[in-house]
Amino acid sequence: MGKNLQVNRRGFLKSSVMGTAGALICTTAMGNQGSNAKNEPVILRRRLGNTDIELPIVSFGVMRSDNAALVKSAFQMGFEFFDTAHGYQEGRNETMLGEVFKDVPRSSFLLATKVYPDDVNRQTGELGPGSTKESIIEKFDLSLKRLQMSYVDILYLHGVSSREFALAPQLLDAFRELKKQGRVRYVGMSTHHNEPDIIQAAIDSDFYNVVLTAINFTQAHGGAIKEKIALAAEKGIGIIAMKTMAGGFFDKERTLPVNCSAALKWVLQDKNICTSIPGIVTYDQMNQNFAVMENLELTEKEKADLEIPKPLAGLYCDGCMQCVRQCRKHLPVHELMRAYMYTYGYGQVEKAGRLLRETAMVTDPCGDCSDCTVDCPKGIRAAERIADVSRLVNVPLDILASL
Amino acid sequence: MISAVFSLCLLQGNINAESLFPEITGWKMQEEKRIYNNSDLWELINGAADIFLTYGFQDLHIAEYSKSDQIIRVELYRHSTPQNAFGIYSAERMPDYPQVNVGSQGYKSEGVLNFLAGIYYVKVMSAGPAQAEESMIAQVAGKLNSSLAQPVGLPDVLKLFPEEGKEYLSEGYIAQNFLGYSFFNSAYTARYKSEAEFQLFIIQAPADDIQQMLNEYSKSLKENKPVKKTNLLVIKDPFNGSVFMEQKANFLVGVINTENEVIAKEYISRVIKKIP
Repeated sequence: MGKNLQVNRRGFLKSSVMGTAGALICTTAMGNQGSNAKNEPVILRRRLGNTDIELPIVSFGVMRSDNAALVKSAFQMGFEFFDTAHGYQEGRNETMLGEVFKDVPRSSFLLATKVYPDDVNRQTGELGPGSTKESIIEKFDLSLKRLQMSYVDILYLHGVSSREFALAPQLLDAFRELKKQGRVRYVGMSTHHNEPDIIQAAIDSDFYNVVLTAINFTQAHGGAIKEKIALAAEKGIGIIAMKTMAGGFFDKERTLPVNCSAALKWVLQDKNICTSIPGIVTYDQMNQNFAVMENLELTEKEKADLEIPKPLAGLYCDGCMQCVRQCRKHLPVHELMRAYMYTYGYGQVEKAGRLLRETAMVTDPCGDCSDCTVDCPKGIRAAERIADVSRLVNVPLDILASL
Repeated sequence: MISAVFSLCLLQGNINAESLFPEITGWKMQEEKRIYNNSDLWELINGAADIFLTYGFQDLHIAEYSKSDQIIRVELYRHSTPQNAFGIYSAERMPDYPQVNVGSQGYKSEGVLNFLAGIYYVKVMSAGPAQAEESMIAQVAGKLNSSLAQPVGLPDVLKLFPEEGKEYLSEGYIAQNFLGYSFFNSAYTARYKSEAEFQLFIIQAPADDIQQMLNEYSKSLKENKPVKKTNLLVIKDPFNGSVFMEQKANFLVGVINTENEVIAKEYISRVIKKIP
């Protein structure tokens, strides 16, 4: 692992996306990307663990079923690997992909889907008696039918959130059987909760070929995830990244967009990650993500964009105190904004809770004001944020500390 | 983590709030304490959450009705507008499944009944070791619909689509990035099968905004700039093929997925005639 494979774009398009290692130019360099000796664009490719799959470092997360033309265009452009799930849009996502690819040679693209067992406690990841081998196979049969394909390249156990879930014998049996039948080439699991433990479970299982994990530059536990990714890669497990854009926004109100190219490049700096599956819904995103395949180098601006304090400027109160004078109740608005920033900016809810107590705050102190007289020079809508964050006073500090 | 904290807050803050879930005689109703919002919906439905967010998802309330070993689970997805609720409902709707007369529109399959009620997209499903009876699922859906007391009906724009040749239950609403372009934003769509197969779309927006969309569209086309034939704009889109469009007041009406200009023009004019 850790090996980058570069290939001229003209050379890889559609001929075969499997087992092409011999035809590829290998390099371990991260710099000097984006061109070869003839200044033609090159696509960075990496091998997926111990499988025979090599992929461009950016793939296509199929988010919506209403734009088949976008998927077709992406395929024609050079995206090779498409990611869907049994449950997306109640199956219409898979159905759309089936229509797009029905007349395309099967060896010219790769596809992964995911199945989620029945009877799972979503909070704890505990499996009930309804989580059977049969139900997994039944769902997969339906997925293949929708996809109009005889096999998928990767089948994931979807949204694995506990070790018990990851290693459930009846689920592994189902996957083993599907693989034996040739209807699934490689088996994997996807996780965006409790990722380090889940990746460890995959390592311990001696079963999974691939892990699809959430990983991005904002995660407080990103270091722990990366450590497990390195261990998994060492064991030959292929790693695919998702949720690389961290939801696309820095703030809850979705007003501070993430620099998506920078976020994607940040993830892919880790050579243990084979490819990523950002959700693509516009042609601009398709072009932008394709460009990342050719050049992983973060510009100075992109590096700056990924610095948390700077993008959080919209959450950050300068403490000018104008608001305190403007508030007809003379609330410590600047302190409440600080609590909001602790909560949403840094995830420090205990600190926010303590700050609220220090200011003797009550829940929704603005509730009896019909309008807000605060006119923040930074445009922060103080009343909304106060109503939101002041709810923390209802939660005991020991609970906040345990989170 | 933060969402978990606020779920606790909501629990305490809403302790006296009236439940969205009606009582049903003989069944025990248990409302899930956790309320999902746009920052944590993915924890429940994984990657499927992304499309819900594009449709102005607000929150999700869940309850279970149980009686011996039967459990009926109810999920109430609240969206910002009835249009958005219709959009996500229609994105997941299965036209082949039997329709049910509940809310504005609904359908059922084995152990599942999904319906649209105003700003709510409601999913009712059997979730226990024993399959709940279909009639009971329908009864729960009916009571919920009454309890939610939402206005009945689909978005008015859908009435502009001509009936002739329209595929059954093919109407939809795309909330963002229609045709893969961020400048188009939202559109109502329906599929047709007549002399040709095609998709008809209607974008409703202030006339100036429509003009701006068309300008941006034109700017994005490096070659094959739009050709105007009387009122009809014909665009050779490098990704979407031929796109035929006409604007009338606050509506932009168009046809895609066919090269048949005669048919496209005919259907666009049928819609245009209906616009007041």
